[in-house]
Amino acid sequence: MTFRVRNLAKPHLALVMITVGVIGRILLAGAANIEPVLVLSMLAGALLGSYYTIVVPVAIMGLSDLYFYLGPYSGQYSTFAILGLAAFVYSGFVFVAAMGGFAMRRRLVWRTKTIAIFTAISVPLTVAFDVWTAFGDWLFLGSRFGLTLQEVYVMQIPFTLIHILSSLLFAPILGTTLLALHLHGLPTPGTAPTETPGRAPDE
Amino acid sequence: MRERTQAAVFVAAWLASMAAVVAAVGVVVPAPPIASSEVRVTMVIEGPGWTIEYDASTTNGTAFLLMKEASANLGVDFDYVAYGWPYDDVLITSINGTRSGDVSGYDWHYCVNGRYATLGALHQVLANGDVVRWLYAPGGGSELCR
Repeated sequence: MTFRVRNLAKPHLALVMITVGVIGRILLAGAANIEPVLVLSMLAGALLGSYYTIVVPVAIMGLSDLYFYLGPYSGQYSTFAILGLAAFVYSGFVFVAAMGGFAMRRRLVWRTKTIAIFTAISVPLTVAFDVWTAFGDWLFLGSRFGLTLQEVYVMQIPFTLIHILSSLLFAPILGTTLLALHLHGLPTPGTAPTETPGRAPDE
Repeated sequence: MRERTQAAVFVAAWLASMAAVVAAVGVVVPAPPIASSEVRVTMVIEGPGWTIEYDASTTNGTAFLLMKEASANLGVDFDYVAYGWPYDDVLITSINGTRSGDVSGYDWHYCVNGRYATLGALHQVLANGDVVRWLYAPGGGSELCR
């Protein structure tokens, strides 16, 4: 079988990210803080930029939240708590996407170094995201259990470590895959297009 | 450094960093205690309109194991959600037919010797003379336990 490489337009790559994010988040819901959304948000900022920095993380979270809050979490949280937490989580992911773009936009080459830098950057961004969302957690849920902000941050430590593990796991896997799609396109079955006479193949 | 060498170094560093994080999680979240010496403890469960008391000399020296023992000895049913690695703990969601969320915003909380518990019931080790109090309430914190 022969393959031809089809370049993926930005909306298509965004759709791939959103699909992977929604399915990944739902399938991994049982493992607290193991999630692909943070890394996908970074990739949205790094590979797509522009309004995709907002669209990709918000779409992943919005669609998967619809599933969770109409399904397994139905009736467990007040609308106030859901919206309050969502404000922190969504804005956290948008911040991560923006930082991913800021740090990586000029480094997008098919090199190990690109993935290494991307993976390394995912760690402080994960910590920043958790500090921000734990504050939201304390504001909208912690008070329900009478916890101080300091207690919430102390209780957050193992969750953040797991979240770092999640980012370390997904950053090279998703980073390599989506960077390849972005730079080299998607190999699809079919005959390679006929070369224009007189042009070098790599031109 | 050649690209292939860089890739090998990166994969090694990647695996090592994940192993380090897993080890750090093990330090921060200790495994739940398995056995304890015999302790004399009291458990009081305060539901909506009912109270259950249980006194025991037991080797089931955690809040969860004591609940399990009381459930078996008194015929009080209870339910919980188990959390796997790394937490290896439980969240008690129902006691004696009263389920968290049956009344909007109400959950099961517990206090040990008048202090609000900050550990999961499976990690909460009990000492001689401890009093465990379970309460069905809309909010936790130290105020609840006074």
